[in-house]
Amino acid sequence: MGRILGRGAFEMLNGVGRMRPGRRLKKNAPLQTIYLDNAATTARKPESVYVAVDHVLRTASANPGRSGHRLSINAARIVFEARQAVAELIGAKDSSRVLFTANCTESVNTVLKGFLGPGDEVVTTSMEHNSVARPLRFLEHEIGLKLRIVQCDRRGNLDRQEMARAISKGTRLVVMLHGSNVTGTVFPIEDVVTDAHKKGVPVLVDAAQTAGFWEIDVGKARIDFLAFSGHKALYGPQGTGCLYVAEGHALKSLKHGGTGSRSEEDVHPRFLPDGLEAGTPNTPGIAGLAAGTRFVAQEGHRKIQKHEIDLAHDIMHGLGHVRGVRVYGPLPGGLRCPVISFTIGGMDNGAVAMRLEREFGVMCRSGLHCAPWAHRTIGTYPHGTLRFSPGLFNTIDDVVMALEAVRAIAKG
Amino acid sequence: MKPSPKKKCCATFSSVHHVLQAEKVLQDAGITLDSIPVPREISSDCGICLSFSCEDGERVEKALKARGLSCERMVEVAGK
Repeated sequence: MGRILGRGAFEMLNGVGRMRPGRRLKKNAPLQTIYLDNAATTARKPESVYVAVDHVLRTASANPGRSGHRLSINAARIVFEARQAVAELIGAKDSSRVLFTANCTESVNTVLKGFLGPGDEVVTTSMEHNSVARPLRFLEHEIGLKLRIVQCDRRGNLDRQEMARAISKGTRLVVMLHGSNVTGTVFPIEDVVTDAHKKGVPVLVDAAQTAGFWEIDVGKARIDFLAFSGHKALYGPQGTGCLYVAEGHALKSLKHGGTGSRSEEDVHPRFLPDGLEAGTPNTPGIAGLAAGTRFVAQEGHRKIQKHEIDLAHDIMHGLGHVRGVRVYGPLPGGLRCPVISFTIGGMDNGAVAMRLEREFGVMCRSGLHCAPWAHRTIGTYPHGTLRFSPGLFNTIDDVVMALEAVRAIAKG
Repeated sequence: MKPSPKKKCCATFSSVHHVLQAEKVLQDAGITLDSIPVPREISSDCGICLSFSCEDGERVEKALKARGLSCERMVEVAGK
């Protein structure tokens, strides 16, 4: 891939030098950075993202659409064009139905709290992240929401038939992730949407791990609500997220306030996007998200997927040859996103993660990954796992060095 | 609306998003226009609207309709 830079580029960005893994650190020696925590946030962004954020802050940082002057209109245009770019990437025909939020969690909350009422039944899966689990538990406690949690298998796979059986005509909403942040399992969202729609039940898809990595067409897949983050595989800054709401669905807004429209009325407008957005938006962040989205569109899902899945398979293959290492999640070859969970014998995951970083410069995430349901499902609760999540800017060299580091630690 | 040569017309929309969506469509259709603060006589709205020659009123309506869009109101405004 022409655009993928070697590890030197990341080091330059971080102002650190190089070091071969396995070599003993000299005191105060600079350490190489191998970032394998892209499932949490892609720490490195395409150059165009940095440029876009900087450009907006310097030249178009007025309040979008609130005033009639050029700077305000230019800022509004930046937000409008960002909405168009995201809509195009996910196949949404009407960009006014793409809302900007602070993150995927806010998008999920907007649907759950704006759509569900007392006594409603929700069907979900045992692999969900706390961004879904916690608002569902909150609503269960607060308004008597009825939860049906479909159990996934030990590899994190969802059985379509079991999911279909759990959905009834009385179900108000199906909520499910697309890709797991613990095992990398990818769920068959199109099949579940088909089964749910047969019973007249809409579906909210949490695409935090897959938007930008997996080609999602909300029109073809007939997804009712799509929640996703901007700071992961769309390469935008943190503080950006999106929510797509299909035509025919109306949500009660969590927020009410200024929109720049209908200012003579003291009642919040219902039309989108204003109906679900209130207050000054994160214009610089949204501009960065738009640049990241355009980058993804330009690179193409196929190319991105191939590179990241190749790295994921290399990691899985390499880990499989390290004595004492256990890899969780789907077997190589199946549908997946680039997230690999593993443990090393009886070692403490946090301690291993610390050694990986301090001795080898390998940054990963250990523990429960904000997903206790998923760890209970795969049998790793309460200690969790170590997680490697390669991204587009990782190289095979990064993987080789990370594996060497795991080998060195596993040897004891 | 009958065309009024040299007169300026304004089209208002429900939100800034819809103004900019319309602006793009109309620019693509080759219509000369400007985005301006909504004049006082139309509304107290703090937002913006599209301003163009009233001679283009019909073209504006047609171009918007062709893309499944419409404005809230189109009115002739006083002054330049």
